[in-house]
Amino acid sequence: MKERETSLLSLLGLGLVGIALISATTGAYRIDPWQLPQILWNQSEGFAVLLHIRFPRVVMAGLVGAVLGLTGATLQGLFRNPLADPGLIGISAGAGLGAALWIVLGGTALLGLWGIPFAAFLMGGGVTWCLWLLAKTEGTISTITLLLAGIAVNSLAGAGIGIMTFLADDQQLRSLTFWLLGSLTGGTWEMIGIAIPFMLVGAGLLAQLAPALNALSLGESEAYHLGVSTEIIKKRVILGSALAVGAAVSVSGGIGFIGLVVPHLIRLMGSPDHRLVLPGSALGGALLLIAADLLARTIVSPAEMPVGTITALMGTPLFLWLLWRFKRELSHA
Amino acid sequence: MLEIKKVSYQAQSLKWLVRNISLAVPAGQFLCIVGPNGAGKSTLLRMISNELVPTEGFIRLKHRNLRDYDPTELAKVRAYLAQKRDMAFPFRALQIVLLGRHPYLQGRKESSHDVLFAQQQLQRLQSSHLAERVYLTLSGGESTRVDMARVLSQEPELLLLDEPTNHLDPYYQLELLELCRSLVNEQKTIIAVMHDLNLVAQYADRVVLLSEGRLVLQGQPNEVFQREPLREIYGVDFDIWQNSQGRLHIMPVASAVA
Repeated sequence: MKERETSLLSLLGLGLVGIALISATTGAYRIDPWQLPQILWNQSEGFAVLLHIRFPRVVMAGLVGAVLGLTGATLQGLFRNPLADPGLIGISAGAGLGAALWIVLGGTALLGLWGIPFAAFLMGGGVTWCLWLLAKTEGTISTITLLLAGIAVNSLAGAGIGIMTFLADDQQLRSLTFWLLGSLTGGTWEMIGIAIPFMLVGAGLLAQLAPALNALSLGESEAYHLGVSTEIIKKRVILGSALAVGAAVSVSGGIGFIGLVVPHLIRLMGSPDHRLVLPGSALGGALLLIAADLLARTIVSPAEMPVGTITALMGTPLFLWLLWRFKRELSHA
Repeated sequence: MLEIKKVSYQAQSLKWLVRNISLAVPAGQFLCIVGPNGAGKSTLLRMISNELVPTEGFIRLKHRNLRDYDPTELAKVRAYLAQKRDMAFPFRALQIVLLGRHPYLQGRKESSHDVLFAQQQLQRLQSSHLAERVYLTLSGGESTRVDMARVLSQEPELLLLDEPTNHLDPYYQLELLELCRSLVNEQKTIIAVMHDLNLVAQYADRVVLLSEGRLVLQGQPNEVFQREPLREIYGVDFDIWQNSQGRLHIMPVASAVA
């Protein structure tokens, strides 16, 4: 990896730590960042706020953001399409429907909260698999089919969630609304504990795929000629991203845009080498979502904005600027 | 080097694209496959690369059945230059060439040796100046040269080229075929699908003529390129003559088309 790429990753890592500290100390109850080690050590005033409210929320935002960034990058690599975002092509919606079915049809009573990520994973994986079959024509992935299938899946899942809303009782309805909006208000250690095994297994399946995804960017048959077992890679991507996105969706609902924009930003700031894009997107996704969540819960305080709105507001202009810059570079190349 | 035994291929549409072809290719030979559109040339080439599995018959590479190779192993022995290539992301040309090192890397990052090797292959194609260009912005001919450098980075013993001269201007056409000749002199084996019969006549050791999935004729260029069989297979008349240096010229003549 080139020097520039290594320094980009370290920069992202530093930024992530910085934004996590700022987010943990900002809010209705203000904490001086410099007092942080002291508060933690002495368990003095503010310790409970940090431990039970701020930290879980920051950790959750970081995990969800990292998962969305990483899966976005991997799916874009597999589909060879820069628009393959888990939200856009319906994987998040499918996972959301899985979670909704589980809640309303009584799974929670059966297995508690643990079943939700599993149900979300099954539906998310099913959707990914169907998309793959639908969008693939003669070895290449058709952008139009992919996006149209995404629209179809999104509205079907929307309808499904609608029916579930209709059937739900009051308490279930409250849980459901949460998926419809996409928010990090449910950030507790318990939820993190449930989601984290799924996320780790999913991310573990994806993390090693960078060289194969590089070869795949030449096309499926070219990748085969370079020694990549394309069928295995495909299955790992679908399984891994369904696990990770399923877990993310079951704790935070469908937060869009991170998976779409972050990999682009990394590609444009660094290079399209997946050995940079995968870790970079995980770090960048975590950073962006923590920052977005910080804004969401502070700018209209004591009320809270839906975090998805913030991610879009922050991401879009940045994305457009980089796109414009890259276009200019292409025409001068 | 390569042994093709009674190979046939049936597409999903149940149409037989290749029928009962047998062929043995020794190491250090430049073999060209020619024939009309839809004759099964690319299908045959993709079976040799093991991307397609023959419906009948078998193919042996270095005395081993192709099916017994795992993809990585195979990628160290044979490389493939596709006719249609498209790229999803804005990689630089040198990064594309480095992808040819993939079978040797096994997940580790490329060493300075790998980078140097890739640069040398680009140089071999007189394309060092393209190294830092974004691949997507290259012209058809430039990207062919970069892809050929990637193919060479695989250090293959067997090169499968599907219409390699397609987008190249005359200078680079000759340049590429001269390169093929020198590779063959290094005991590499090359199998190329070609349409330009004159270039084939000039460079190939051996020609295989396919029509409707069958092997119709094979031999040295001057044996295969005769008026009668060519007219029958292509449905066009050809003027064929040898110039004073003994070089074969093959010219399709328009009269027969009308």
